[in-house]
Amino acid sequence: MNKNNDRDILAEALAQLKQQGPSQQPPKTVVDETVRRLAEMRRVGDDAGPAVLPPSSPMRIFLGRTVVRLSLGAAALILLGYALGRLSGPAPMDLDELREALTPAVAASIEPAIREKLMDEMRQRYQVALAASYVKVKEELTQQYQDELNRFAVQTLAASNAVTNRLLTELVENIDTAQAQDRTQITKVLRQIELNRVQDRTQLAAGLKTLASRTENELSKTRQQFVQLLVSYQPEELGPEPQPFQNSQERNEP
Amino acid sequence: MQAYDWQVVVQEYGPLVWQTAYRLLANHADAADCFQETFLTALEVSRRQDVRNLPGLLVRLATTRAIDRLRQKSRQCRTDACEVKPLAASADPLDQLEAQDLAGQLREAIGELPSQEAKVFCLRYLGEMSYRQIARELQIGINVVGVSLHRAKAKLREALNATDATDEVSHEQKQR
Repeated sequence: MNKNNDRDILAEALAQLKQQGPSQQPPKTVVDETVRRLAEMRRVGDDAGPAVLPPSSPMRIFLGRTVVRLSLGAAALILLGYALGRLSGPAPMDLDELREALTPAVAASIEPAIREKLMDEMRQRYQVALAASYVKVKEELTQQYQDELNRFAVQTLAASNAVTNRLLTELVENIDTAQAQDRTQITKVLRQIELNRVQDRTQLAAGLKTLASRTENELSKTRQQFVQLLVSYQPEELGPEPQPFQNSQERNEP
Repeated sequence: MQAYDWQVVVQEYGPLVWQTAYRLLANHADAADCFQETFLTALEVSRRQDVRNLPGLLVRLATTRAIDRLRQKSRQCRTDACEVKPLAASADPLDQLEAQDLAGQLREAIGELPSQEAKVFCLRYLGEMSYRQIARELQIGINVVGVSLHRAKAKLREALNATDATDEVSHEQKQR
């Protein structure tokens, strides 16, 4: 339940509105200005005189009665004139004689016009009917043309889709075959490279061994030659005979 | 045609007219304009016809002018920011703010009412006139007065409740 229903908000608002009233007296400036404007307005009004007659003045009553009397007199005169006119007018003519006398002349005068008007109307109706038929036929042909175009477009689209799918399948198969061949060739090449590497390593190891043995032999020969050279060229006064050159391996042996 | 001493009339009925205008307008300048227009119009009316109840005429004219100005202000307040009055220091500021808000909502709702319903409502509850006096001043039937008053009250109550509900929802959203 809304609490707004429990209290009369309108009564509260009215009470607040009444409580918010200011002091009962209007400001003196406002009162003075109002009195001044009233005096000015009264002076202007007195100079100009009353603009409108009071509703209960005798002049207004007199004018009203005069207008009513004049209106009644005018109505009576009109009725009298109408009655005099009806009574003093000529007698009515015989309508059958008048019709028989006028029928041939009227028929002869209006027949071409009627014929021409009828022709115009027929022509207009035919034109309207032809225009409507033309529009209808044009719409039907347009509709048929659009239907044919749509059917042809659907067929062409289906055929092109089938051809495209076949070509795509062939392309995928060719790509798979080429990828398999590439993988086989790459595997062969990798195997050949590995074989070459192993052979090279073997040859290199053998060559290094040969080089090491030859180098050792050459070093032994050089050492012997160097010892022999020292022995053969040693002066006698230089002291005792020098020890033969020993390598570290020979020195460490017992 | 009666001849009034308008200085005496202004002195005697000025407070009544001022109170009627200021209650509806809550604005010094607007109330002053309404005050002057009321007495000037009363002068014109007294020139055209006999005035049987001068205070009733003044209250009706003041109410009509104030409602016209209220409707103009209501239209302007939809686009411009409305005037916010300063609070008095004596009472509780929250209570004063709520009271001002409620009275302002009532003024705005009166400005939204049809002219005749607004006049009848203001003459009845702010001018404290009887149905017969209102009918005589506005030149309408007593039944029309009753119907207009009933419609005005229903519309005002609905407008105030709608505004109150909207304020409560916005207040709850702010608290969240």
